[in-house]
Amino acid sequence: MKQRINILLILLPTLLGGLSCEKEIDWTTQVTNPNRIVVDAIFTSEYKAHEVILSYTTDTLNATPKMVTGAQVLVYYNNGSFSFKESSIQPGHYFSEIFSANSSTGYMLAFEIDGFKDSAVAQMASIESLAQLQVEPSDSLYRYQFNEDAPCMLEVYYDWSHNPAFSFNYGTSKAKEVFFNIDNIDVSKIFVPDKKRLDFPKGATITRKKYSLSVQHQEFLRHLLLETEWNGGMFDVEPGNVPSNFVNGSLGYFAVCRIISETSVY
Amino acid sequence: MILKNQIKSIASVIITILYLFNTAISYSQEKNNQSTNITVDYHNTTLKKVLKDIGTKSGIKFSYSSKIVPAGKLITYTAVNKNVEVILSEILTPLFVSFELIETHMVLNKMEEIPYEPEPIPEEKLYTLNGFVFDALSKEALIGAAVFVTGTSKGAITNKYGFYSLTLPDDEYDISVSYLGYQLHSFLVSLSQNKKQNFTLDPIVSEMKEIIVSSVEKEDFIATVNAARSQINPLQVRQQASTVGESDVIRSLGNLPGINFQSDMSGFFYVRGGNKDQNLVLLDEATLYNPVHLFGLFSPIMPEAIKQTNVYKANFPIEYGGRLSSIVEIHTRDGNKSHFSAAGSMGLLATRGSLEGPIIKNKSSYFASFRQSYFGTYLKKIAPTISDARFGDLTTKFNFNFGKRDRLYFTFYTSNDILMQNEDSETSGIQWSNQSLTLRWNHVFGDKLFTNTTIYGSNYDYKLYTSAAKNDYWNSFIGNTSIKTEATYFPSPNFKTKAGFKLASYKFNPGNYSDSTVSDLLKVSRTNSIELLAYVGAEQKLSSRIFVDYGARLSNWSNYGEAFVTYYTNYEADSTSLYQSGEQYFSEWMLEPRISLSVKLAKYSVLRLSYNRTVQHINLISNSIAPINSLEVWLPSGPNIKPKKADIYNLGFAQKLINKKIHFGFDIFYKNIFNEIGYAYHAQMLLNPYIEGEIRQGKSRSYGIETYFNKSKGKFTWQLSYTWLRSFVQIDELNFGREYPSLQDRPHDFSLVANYQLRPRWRINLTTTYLSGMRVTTPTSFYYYQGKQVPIYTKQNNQRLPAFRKTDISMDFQLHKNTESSYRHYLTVSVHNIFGRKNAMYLNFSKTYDEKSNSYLIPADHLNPEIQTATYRYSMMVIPSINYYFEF
Repeated sequence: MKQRINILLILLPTLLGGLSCEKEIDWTTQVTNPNRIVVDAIFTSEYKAHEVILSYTTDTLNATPKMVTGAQVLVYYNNGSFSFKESSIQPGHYFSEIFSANSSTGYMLAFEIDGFKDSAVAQMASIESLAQLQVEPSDSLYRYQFNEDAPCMLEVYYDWSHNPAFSFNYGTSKAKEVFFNIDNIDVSKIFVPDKKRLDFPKGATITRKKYSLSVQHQEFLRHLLLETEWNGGMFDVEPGNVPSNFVNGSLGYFAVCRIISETSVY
Repeated sequence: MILKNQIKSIASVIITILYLFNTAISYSQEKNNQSTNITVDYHNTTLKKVLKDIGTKSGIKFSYSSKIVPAGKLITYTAVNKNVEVILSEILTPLFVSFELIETHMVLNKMEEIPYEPEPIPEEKLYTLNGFVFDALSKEALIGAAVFVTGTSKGAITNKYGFYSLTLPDDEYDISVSYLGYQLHSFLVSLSQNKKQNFTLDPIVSEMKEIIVSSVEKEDFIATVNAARSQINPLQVRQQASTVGESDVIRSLGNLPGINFQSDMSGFFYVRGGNKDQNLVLLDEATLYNPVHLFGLFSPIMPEAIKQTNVYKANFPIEYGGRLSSIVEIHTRDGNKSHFSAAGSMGLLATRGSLEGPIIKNKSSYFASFRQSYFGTYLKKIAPTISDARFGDLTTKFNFNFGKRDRLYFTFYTSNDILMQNEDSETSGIQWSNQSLTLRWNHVFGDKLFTNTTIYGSNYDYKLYTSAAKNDYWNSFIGNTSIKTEATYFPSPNFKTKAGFKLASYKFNPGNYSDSTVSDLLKVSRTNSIELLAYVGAEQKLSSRIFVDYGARLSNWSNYGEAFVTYYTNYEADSTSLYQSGEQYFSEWMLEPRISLSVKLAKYSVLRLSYNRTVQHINLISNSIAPINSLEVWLPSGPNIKPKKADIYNLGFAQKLINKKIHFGFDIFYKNIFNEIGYAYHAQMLLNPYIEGEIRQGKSRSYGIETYFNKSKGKFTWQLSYTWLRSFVQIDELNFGREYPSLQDRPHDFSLVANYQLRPRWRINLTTTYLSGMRVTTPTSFYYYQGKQVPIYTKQNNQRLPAFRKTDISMDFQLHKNTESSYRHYLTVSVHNIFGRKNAMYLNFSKTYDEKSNSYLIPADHLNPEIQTATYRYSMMVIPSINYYFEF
């Protein structure tokens, strides 16, 4: 049923869009800058050095965030723990030793900066296999069609470095799209606003990384999407802050996900 | 030289003496003429001819202005050898015309108001005059017509069925009957026993149908000025510049003080800072739950079908309640009882028509109006995947008179909206419909007791098809079946009492999917409710200056199975119960007292103070801030939703200014709402079995001042209104528990509606509005997470959108030259939003500009972040339209 709802209605935006227009506005926000810490961390089943990004909130749209440097970042699991080290070339980015998260373990991410401590816990959910790659022509180019059934987050990496002309026109040879399938039915999701088209040329390398989502992670993503990708359609809901799983008020989310990935050339 | 001057002086003196002498003789003659006895005999003779004849017979010269004296009034009068002064008195006094000899002329003038007469002497016998007031041509009953003893404040106002009852001492009375847009009629009635007397009034015929207020100054001013009540005449609606050529009674509410729409494209209206679900729209007593077409662009009730619309923002009539902010009472037309007639119009989006006529001449009639859109044709060109897009509605009414005491009315209304698309060989889309059915029986017991019994039902059915072929759809439904009986007793002109009883049953489906394979986890429990209501109220004139209106409603709301009810602790589900069919699981009694006091301060000024409590059990559950209908559901109050209650205080003042041509008034109000509904942030409203756990309740308050000036006579008519209001909400779980402005907190609301008769058959109409912008919650900072910019909010509804400004203009052309023509037709050319103001509907911070499509879209590339920008969506710009209207 969800799928059937998901395929619904482009006609409403068509109708109502025909009677209305969208325009840029010079808007002055009422700035209050609590300078809160934001944590961006997803541990995965990939065997690699994992990354925790600590930054501060920004005053305005598009501002570059100030990074949180000099923090102590630790991860606790079962009876063990290990620390993250801040990158010397990327302030605010903290990296672990190489490890892979697993589903039988609960993880707690903790950090401390200038006496402020915060932590969050997460556990990995199971994942289903990747659906078959589905691509459709889009003018003279191609477009990936998201077709995953089960709840997941899917990162799609495009590499068209084989095509310098296209890379030049686009400005870079790589791009990344993120798709979500979460277990919810919201009006804003049904009548989602249009997203920019990310078309790729023939022969591009497509890498898909499918992330498992726990129920809590899905709920977080639902809030996140309601304030980002699903915001700006015809049926917006009352805005609200995106919750976090950090216990002392830090923003962001700490998740642990199983990943399956596949690379193909189309 | 000196001699010449002396002669001149003597001549001057002689001339002066002669002049004075002559004047004295003339005056003496006039005086004599005034006391002359003459014989006259007039049958349906105009007053002008009567005066000429009296002048001829008595030698009196009359001087008067036809603007003041009704020279065309038909007079029937006979006198034999009677004094001229007595004759003039007998003819002119009932017409409110005074006469006075000034120098050589009898000057006729408007009569000063006769002072209030003392109360009847108890020993006198009292008799009741009752009956109905009708339109003379169509025999349509007239609501709110004034029936009063000429020159006094004794009178009655016809009720919603056109009935009046007036109890007076044994005597002969000159009874005047007046009504908006009709000629004032006077009738001589000898009241020596109880008497049934129906009155008919002739509509005022003008070149183009002007808004004419006929002789309302003759009415008891207290009765006509009800605090916080507005009357909308369908003619006024037709004359207002319309949206895309379709005039609309619901949208015209936006021109009244204290009422505004969320946006230009919105069907949601807010009254005095109350929420959108706090307005009860009644069509012949049946509720219209979602009175909009095309997501809110039009109301589904055509002006042709409407006899009268009353809007109450405070001091609700005792028979009405169930909503906190307003009652919009729409009365449909009965249909022409004397002859067949039809009307219709063709516009850009739809065509509409109406038919009416007698079933049995002068006894029963029918009325039917219908509308069908054709905008789908245009839409299919824009979006070829659209397979069906249309709306339509039908209003029918039949009424029958059974003798003098019984009347039966039957109203049926249905409207339907369909918007379907066909993509990937799957048809999906939206369909919604409103239906209502009313059967009313009026019976008059004796001469003073009027009763009405109504059986009625209505429903609103919303379907979101995911597969039309498989008949799979999401459905939200609310419906009710009710019976109500009401008695109004008129013991004296100074006292009227009303009592009633209502039993209603409701069914709610708060949004479910039709597919039986859907998991139980997505099933939202249906529920049933029963409402019992008893009310009693009275209207009492304590003196010539003081009028009091009081009463109370006692109601019980109960919920019944079959229902699956979840109980919550701290908004977390902690237990559930399954209630069998008919099993009660919630019951609550409520008392709603109401009182209002009116004081006539001066001849044309009234002060009215009122308080009423009102209760609302039916709630529109939606956290959408969209200006149009989304997938809302309805839920009753129950174990998890406390009934909403409001205390409304109103102080109103009304005054006629400048030779009684301009009405001025203001209302100061304060509204306190308990158990106001809010929602958890990002509440999930669709297919959520725990939807009641998403609801948060608190309180809200709104206050403000409404003022208006209204000129409704003459070539240039206008209404100017300004409202200042504030509206706040406090819910513990929202906005950190702090009070915050509500979405509808829009302090300044100014509107001007003006009509000017350029030529006898041309009229220009202008409607202009200024309204403070809608409240919006905007980010106060941002953060990055996984390449997305996420907004942070610190205060709810902390800013407002730019102010809403719009000017619509239209020209009406009467195409027929002869006002008596049986085929009358008009052309309306209108321009919506003539200055092309871009009125914001909502604000967004999550999009980026896309050069390819020249539009604002959600960014897609997470590796190469793009600049996001603040955007706003604005509603329709300049829209010209043309509409042809005809009637015969």
